[in-house]
Amino acid sequence: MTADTFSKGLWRENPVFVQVLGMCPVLAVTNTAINSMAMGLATLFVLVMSSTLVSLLRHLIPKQVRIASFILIIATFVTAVDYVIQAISVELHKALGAFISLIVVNCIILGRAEAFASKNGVLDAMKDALGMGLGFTFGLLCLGGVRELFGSGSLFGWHVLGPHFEPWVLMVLPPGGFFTLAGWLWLIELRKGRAT
Amino acid sequence: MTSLRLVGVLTGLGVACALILTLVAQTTAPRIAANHAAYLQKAVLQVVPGGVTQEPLEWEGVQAFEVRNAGNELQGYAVVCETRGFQDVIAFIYGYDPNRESVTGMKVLSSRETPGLGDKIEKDAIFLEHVSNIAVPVENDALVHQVEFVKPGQRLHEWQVDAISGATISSRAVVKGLSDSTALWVPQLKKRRSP
Repeated sequence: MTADTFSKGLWRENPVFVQVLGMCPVLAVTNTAINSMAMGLATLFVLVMSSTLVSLLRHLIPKQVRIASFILIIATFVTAVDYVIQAISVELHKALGAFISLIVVNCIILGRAEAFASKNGVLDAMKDALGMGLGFTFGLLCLGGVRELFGSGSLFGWHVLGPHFEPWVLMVLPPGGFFTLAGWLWLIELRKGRAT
Repeated sequence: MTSLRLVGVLTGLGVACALILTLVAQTTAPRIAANHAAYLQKAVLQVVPGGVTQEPLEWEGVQAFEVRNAGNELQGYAVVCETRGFQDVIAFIYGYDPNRESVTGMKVLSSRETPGLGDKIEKDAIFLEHVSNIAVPVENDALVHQVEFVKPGQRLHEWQVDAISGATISSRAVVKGLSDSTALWVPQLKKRRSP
């Protein structure tokens, strides 16, 4: 394994823009950059911890119960993150709401556990998880930044478009998530020369 | 033997995960309790506009606060209420102004309602406007009208609240909680104000 194990998740196999996985949180909680960052970091933590543990225990877990074991490990870390976020801020916990619990069924995490961590060593599993987690956070921030900028005129809570800017309310509503994701996918495909 | 190993692995993992979660829960519990208390204090002043200071009321069966303005005059009361929602219990707090005889605001403290649907009880502008201006006049130690839940766009009186389209069960739950709680506590708060 090379540095590619880490870097592929950042761009070439980015979970949001290339694999198009975990769309539920991608579309639902990216109405502000702060929410996107918090969800991205929470997912990153769960991804790294669960991949590490799955890799460590890969020779102990029989294949018949591997999925149940992976879910158990992932659910444990998600619940721990839920407690930690509540300890950091009630407002943040309310804003992320049910989507924290839904990290359990985020297909990126189970996907990396099954496809990579259960077949590779601990260091490589950590590198892969870190790359994928950062790539996912980057994807969420791309959406959250644009939606907050046009939907509220601010970025990370700071007003940047001035008092005369009329917010595009649609951008912070659910359709804004679809429009922004479509816009980013189009731009990426355009850069690759595959879009018209 | 194989089955025993499967059971053993899953049991061992379950016990290890339970231990980790116990440790995390115990470590974060004091901080979470402090955050919830601070959030509640902030909510009390939000549901009673003009309030500056708050004092908990030592009443049995309800968590309520007396709120005073900058001139240390009584501005209103805030009452915590729980109601059965679509997914789970919805806890919210509402404000009551005995001078205007009106509910002055509502804020959800905790809820697990469906994102995008049931959670409209925290965001729907019309619903929030209605629950911030509900007439609850008292006569003979009882409400003249109980708070009522009506279909969207059918509010005719100030003691009625429009349902939220797409969040009917959740909005009905909040209005039922408000109706029951105001019927029980508002006459007592009013009496406390003018004995």
